[in-house]
Amino acid sequence: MKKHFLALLTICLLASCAPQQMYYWGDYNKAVYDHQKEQTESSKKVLLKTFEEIISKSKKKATRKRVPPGIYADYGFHLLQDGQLEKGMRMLEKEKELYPESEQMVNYLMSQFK
Amino acid sequence: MAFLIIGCSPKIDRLTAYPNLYNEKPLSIIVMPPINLSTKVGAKTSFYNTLTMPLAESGYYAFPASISMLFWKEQSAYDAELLIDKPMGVLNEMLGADAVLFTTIHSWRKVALTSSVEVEIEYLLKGALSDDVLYQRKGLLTVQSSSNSGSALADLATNVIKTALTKEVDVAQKCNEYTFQDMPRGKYSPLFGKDGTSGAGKKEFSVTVTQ
Repeated sequence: MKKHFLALLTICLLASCAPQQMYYWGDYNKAVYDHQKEQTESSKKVLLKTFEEIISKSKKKATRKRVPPGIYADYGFHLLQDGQLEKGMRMLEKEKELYPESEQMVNYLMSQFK
Repeated sequence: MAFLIIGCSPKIDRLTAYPNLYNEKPLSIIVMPPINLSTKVGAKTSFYNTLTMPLAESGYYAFPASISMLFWKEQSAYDAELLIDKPMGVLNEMLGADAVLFTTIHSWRKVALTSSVEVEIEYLLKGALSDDVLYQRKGLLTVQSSSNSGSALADLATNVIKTALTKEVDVAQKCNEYTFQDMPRGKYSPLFGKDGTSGAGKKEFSVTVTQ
C-alpha cells in the first residue's frame, strides 16, 4: 500500500514539476554519439535520417513548433561532409533564416566548404 | 525520466544567484570541449555532445557541437584548460557567440554495489564580451537506474539491464538536465525575463538522480 502511495505521489510530483519540452529532438543525442563513436556508413545514415525526422516532425510536436536551434545547421554540416553540397548549403541558409543569431557561425562553416 | 529532489526549498532566487545573466541576456552560447580531470576517457565526448540540447530547451541558441568542434580543431583550441581564464571576445568576433560554456569533469566513477555512476562536474558560463561569470554550479551527481531495489543481491540479478541504462551518454545527459534546471530561461522560452523570483539551486550541490 505504502509503495503504491509513493508511486502515485511521484507521478503527481513529476506531472506538476516536469515542464513540457520546447522542441522535438527524436533520437538526436544517441545518433550523434553513436556516429561519433562508430564513424561508419550506417551510423552516418542513421544520423542523417534522425535530422530528417526531427525536421519533419518539429512543426507538430513540442511546445514551440519549430525546428530546434542548430538542427538545420548540424544537418547541413553533415550533408556537406557527405559531399551533398547543394542540399547542405540549403539547410545552412534555413538555419540563418530561422535563427538569425547563427549567421556568423554558419558563414564560418560555409567558408570551410568553398 | 525522474529526478529525486533533495532540498526542495531553495534559499535564494535566480536574480540574486545569477545577476550577470539577467543583465547580459545572452542568446547564443558556444560549448567548449569539457576539461576532463577524471580517469574516464569517454566522459569528455559524452558531456560535450549532450550540452547543447538542455541549453536549447532552456531558451538559448546553442551552436551545434559538431560545428563548434570543427572550429576548435581549426583554431587548435581543443584544450579548454588553456582558455578558461583568457578573454573570450574573439569568439564573439568570429562566430557571434554571446556566451561560452566551460565544463570541468572532476571525477567519474562507477559504484559497483549500487550499479550507479557518480560524477563530479562544474559548469561555468562566461559572457563572451564581458568575460563575467554568468552562471556557475558544481555538483556531485549520482546517477542510478530506477530499477535499483536497494538490495545488492536482488540488483545483481537485474544487473544487465541496469548497465544498459547507465550508458555514458545517458549519465551525462542526466547531469546536464538536473543542473540546468535552475538556469534562468533564455529568449526563446516563454519564461524569459519572468523567472527572477523562481528559486535557484545551491551553487554546490550533491544529489541522486534516477533514470
